[in-house]
Amino acid sequence: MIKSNHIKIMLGIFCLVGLFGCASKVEYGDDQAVETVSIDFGSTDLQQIAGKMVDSLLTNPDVIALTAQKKPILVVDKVQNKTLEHIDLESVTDTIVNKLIRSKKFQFTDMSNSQSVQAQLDYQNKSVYVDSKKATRIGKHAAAEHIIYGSLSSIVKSNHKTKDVYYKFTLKMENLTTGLLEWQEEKEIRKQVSRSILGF
Amino acid sequence: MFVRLFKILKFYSIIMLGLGYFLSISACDSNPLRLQVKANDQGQSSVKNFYFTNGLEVHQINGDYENGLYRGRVTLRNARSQTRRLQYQFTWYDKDNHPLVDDSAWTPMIVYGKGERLLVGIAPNETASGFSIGIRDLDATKVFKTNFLGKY
Repeated sequence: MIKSNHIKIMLGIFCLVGLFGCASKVEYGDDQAVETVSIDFGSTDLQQIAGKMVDSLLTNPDVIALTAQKKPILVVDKVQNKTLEHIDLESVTDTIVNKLIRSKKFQFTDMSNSQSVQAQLDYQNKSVYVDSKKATRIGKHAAAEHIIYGSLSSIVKSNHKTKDVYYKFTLKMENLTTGLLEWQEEKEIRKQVSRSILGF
Repeated sequence: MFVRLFKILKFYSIIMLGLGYFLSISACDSNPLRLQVKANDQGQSSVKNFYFTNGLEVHQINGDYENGLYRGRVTLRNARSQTRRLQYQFTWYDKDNHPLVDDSAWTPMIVYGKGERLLVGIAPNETASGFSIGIRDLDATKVFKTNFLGKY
């Protein structure tokens, strides 16, 4: 009789725990909050890198002199991923470009969509369906004066207890006429994860 | 019969309470409380020796223009001897004291015991003429916030 009661109570408790355990909750988070879900490259790293690069570019004395009279035209090349992680670095440069455009100090040309632009211009200027007087003229695109490029590298070290990741993001701006490097900045990020004793 | 049942229930409730306490002390707190402290408008001049509680001291808050963009500088000191893991966030305001639509993220930082950090923020565009800085101490689960408004 007692054993039977024990089993019933145990089953009841396990069912209760199971019900709580299965409950899932979906909610929106703060996109500007510090994210520490894992040690991998994350949104906070992206935001820190973009913030540092833009602040540095906008306060560099040479760049201030460059933007004092006019808005220089920039083009952003791909940022090389030298890490072992799969990281969408175009997203980092997109954020940087977004912030720089908002500052109203620079103009940008975009090469990532050049084939579509070229196809549209060809269509407008060669197709018999488009009014030739209203077609966008070819050869009027603004030329970039400076190119921005860079790289992201990492050093990963670990032992049985701790994993340490060091990221270094480097960005450069080169004058396309002179070939001179006019600005360079780097952002270092170190992240560590330690295994806790209890495993939570 | 009822006495035995009561004893059994008491036994399991103690186990469950113990398990609950054990889980609660192991879980991480990711939703800190927010405590906001706002100072009065201070104009263009710098603010010195503006203190927060909880062992964090803001020694100086400066605002000036750089390349037409408003720049905020905040000198923060950790009065305690323990290392603090903090986060900060600049919020920018226009001349009418309306916050600009900006994506200034919370930035993590470490301030070592008795150490100082200079926090610098650049406004996203030329319409900004003031800022506020939020400093969040996740260890103490509190948020401190001050306000510094520049030229009008």
